[in-house]
Amino acid sequence: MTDPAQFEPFLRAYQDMVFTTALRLLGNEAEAADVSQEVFLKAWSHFPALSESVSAGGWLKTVTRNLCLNHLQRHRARWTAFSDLSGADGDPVSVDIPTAETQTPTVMSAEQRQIVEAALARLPDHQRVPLVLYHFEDLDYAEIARELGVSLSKVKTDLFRAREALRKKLQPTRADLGF
Amino acid sequence: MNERHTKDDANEAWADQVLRQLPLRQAPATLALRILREIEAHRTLPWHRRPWGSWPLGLRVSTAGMAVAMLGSMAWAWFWIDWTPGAAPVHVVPGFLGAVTAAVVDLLGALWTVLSHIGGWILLGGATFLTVAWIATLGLGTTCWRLASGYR
Repeated sequence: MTDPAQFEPFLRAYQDMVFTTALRLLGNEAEAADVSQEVFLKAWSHFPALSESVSAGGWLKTVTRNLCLNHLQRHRARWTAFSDLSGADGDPVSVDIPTAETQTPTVMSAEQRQIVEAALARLPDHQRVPLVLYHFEDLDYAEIARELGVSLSKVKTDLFRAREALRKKLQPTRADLGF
Repeated sequence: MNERHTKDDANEAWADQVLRQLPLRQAPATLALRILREIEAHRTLPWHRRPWGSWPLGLRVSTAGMAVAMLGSMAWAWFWIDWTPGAAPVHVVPGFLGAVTAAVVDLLGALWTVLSHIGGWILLGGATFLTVAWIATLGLGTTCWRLASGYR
């Protein structure tokens, strides 16, 4: 059995990545820490193979994503209900199209990043999860639909609404902070 | 391309640029310690409380062998023993094992004879009664244990 002393450097090297992935998918620090613990316990039981693998990071990301989606699956009834309440599929949301200036943000300050993180965490599950899977996990629409067990059109609609909602949440901030 | 697609493309580019600037969040300082403590707890568990896959190799091999032997014996018994009541399979299984097998076969045969003479409704009623009694005992036992231990 693996010695924890051998496992510790591996754990410390990847803990921020695993925790961040879980936090963005779940939107809750305590739950993200619980899932991270579960991920590393799995990693420990596969450590002999994992320690020599060049794709250990990818393995950890996939396990984190799957455990987070399983965690959310337990609340799927609530998720679906909220998602369905938020309007009929395909309804255009009346907002301004970003201008060239607003569309190209400059490099954000630490404060601006915190505001974006907070806005992302405040999005409802059914909007935040596809947004994170698309922009951070690099999954395409079809893969997201498969992972979440929903239709392609629902993924597109949820992503459209998620971006709109994020833009709206950041609207006053963008004016104040210049992005 | 309709207005919605234009909006979505613009929003996608904007969201991509904003979100991809976000750095990794630092994991809580206690997370690594918590995980290492949990690993240590798993490591110190006795073998019989760990998943079968992490048992010592000798135990895994012997238990797998025992399971195969049991399944093999059951399959052999099913195909080769004469299950009719009164038929002693001593000629098939020699010695003490043969006597034990004969006794088991006789008991099963007697049970089958009794059951086949009882009506279906009586059997169903008996099974229902046993199920209800078992559930009631389990429920009462759980309630008493929770009251006694203060567990909620």
